[in-house]
Amino acid sequence: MSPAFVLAAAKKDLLRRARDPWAFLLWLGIPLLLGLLIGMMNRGGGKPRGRLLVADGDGTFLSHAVSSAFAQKPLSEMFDVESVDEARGRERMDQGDASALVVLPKGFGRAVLRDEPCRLELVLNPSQRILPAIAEETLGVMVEAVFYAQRVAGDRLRAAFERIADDAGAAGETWTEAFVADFGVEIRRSLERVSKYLSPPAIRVDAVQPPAEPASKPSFVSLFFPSMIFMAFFFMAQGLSDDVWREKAEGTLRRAISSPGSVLGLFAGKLLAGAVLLLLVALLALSIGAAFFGFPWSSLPAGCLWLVGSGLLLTTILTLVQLFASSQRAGHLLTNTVLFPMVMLGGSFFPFEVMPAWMASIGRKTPNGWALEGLKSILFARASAGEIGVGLLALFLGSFLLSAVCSYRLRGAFARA
Amino acid sequence: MIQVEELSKRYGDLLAVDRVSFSAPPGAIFGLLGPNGAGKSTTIGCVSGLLEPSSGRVSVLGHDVRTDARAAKSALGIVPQELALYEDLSAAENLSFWGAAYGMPRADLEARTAELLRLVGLADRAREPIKKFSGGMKRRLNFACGVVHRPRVLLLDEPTVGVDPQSRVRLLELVREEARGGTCVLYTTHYMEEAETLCDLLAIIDHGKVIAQGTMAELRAMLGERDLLRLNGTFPGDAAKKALSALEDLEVVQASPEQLTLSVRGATKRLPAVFSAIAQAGGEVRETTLSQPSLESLFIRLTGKELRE
Repeated sequence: MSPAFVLAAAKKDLLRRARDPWAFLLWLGIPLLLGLLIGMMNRGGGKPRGRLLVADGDGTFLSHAVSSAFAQKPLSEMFDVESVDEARGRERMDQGDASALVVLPKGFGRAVLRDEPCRLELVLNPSQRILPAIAEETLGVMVEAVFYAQRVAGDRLRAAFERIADDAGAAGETWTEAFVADFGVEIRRSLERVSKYLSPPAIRVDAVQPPAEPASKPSFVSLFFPSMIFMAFFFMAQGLSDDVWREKAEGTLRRAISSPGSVLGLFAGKLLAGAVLLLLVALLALSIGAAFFGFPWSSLPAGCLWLVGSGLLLTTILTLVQLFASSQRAGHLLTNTVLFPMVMLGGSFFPFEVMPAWMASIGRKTPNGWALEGLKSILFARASAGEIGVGLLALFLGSFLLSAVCSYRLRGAFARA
Repeated sequence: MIQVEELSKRYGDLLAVDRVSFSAPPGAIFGLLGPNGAGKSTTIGCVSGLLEPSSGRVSVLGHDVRTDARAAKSALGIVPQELALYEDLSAAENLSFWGAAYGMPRADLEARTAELLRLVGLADRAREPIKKFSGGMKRRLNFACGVVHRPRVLLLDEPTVGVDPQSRVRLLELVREEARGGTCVLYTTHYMEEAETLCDLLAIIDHGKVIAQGTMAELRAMLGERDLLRLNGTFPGDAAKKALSALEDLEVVQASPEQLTLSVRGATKRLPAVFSAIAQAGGEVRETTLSQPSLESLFIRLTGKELRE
């Protein structure tokens, strides 16, 4: 078998594939489409996110506390809080530019501390439903919290406020940093005093540690993704295996048998061209996996090699099946008969993780099931370099042995039938 | 040269080739003439190494096609009856690939590809996928792929079947050029005229057996000076055949109630006697065709049937 002829045969097949791009695009499209669909499943539409405008006409630390409340989790996952002046805020609400506008009037802080009436205004966007309702609910909770705080520690806080304000008033400004610090300390003391009433001591909490889960338990989508790649590779392998019938129909197989180039060389070239195509698709699919499903980029080289080896093994298996068929049509039917049970049982259609245990156990013993598990081990970084090396050796050795059987059959009964 | 000795090929109960022997020298066009199913393609298949002979020996330039297959294959060029081309590739790419299959170096291959494309009249369409080509163009390219590596032995299996007259003339001229260059050509056909005008040596094959072989002159001599007389009409029973058999220098080659084929020396002078004998036997002649000695008349004389049957 001349290496130059193998390369010529591979180039010939790549040129033929390039002239028939639809088949290749279909193979390429399968993992792309699946990746897209899985990506959409993974995203699940996402949480709604809106903008909350705060027009703070007071400028005290209490009015700041309102806008800060919206900036804390979990509200911060729903709202981008933006400070505006009142007029601009109303203008933007008219344009539907935000979910809600909170207007805090001048004197808000003093009124809260002195337990005086104060009017907060909340402007809601009528074109939205969920986020404005959340803003309204949150503000309602805040008002109630202030009410109960007044009942529990209002008198003490007011006294402290008057005292601190009198001290600060000498400087001509109430909301100095010293004032805020003193007032903060007073609030803390008040809370400590009432905490024995607020935290019932009769309740004893026994903390039970839940069973430890793996630090990085793979999601369903990331388990499903390698299965999908394998399914795409099955279709590719079937397409590649079908080429022996084209060689036969075009008479080129018989001419090749009569040439010194040898059928083994022709078939090796075919596999080499197939390996290039498989590598391209593997690279694309695993890049999608790394970009969207969190597989480590470092797993790409081993993953690609593994997929190429698996693709070649599948191609040689399906080619061998084709070579025992009596016609191209029969070959297609026969490969489908082999392909679909292998896809179903071998974890390419349903991941092993969702199969009944007995079925998964059988599936993992099929060639594609074993190869799929190997790919997962690489992608989830569970396999050592040695294990990957041995697995790759098995894949390529298996492909080579099956290629020899295919070549024997190709130049024998298949070509002459 | 090609040496075929006692070659037989059996498919189950069918003996497709029965102890065929012939020898084709360098620079000669050796024709295998016979009707469809006579065993011509099977013989070519055994010579090319595509088929395994049941018995006998085939050698190409002294290399046994079974025991020294690689050397034999390297010397052979094959133009199969059916096209053997990649439809998605261009003419140049097809030539380039088949040249590589014979181990041609790249530089030589490029020059040879350009030369052949010019020779077969496809230079201006060299880069187009051949699926856009006409049947005649594909046939010419099929021929070019068979000779791209300058084989010393060329096998052509009915290369002009289904080819338009213009392409046929061009193809036959290309075959002659190969032979003039010293290539040994084995050419199968069922076209009499093609075999008569093209071949230096001929073997007539029927039912897997060679029934006659030699140069055109030698084959004509087998007929002697006999003409072939074909009579159409009504010839009831065996009466006419018996009456004609009684005539001197006349042989009834084939007889049916509607047609008689006779091999006659000096047929023009013997026509009145022939008509008279038929009339006396109760027959009636409606149409007469007289042919000079030819391959066709030889084939009919040897097999009792026409080549196109």
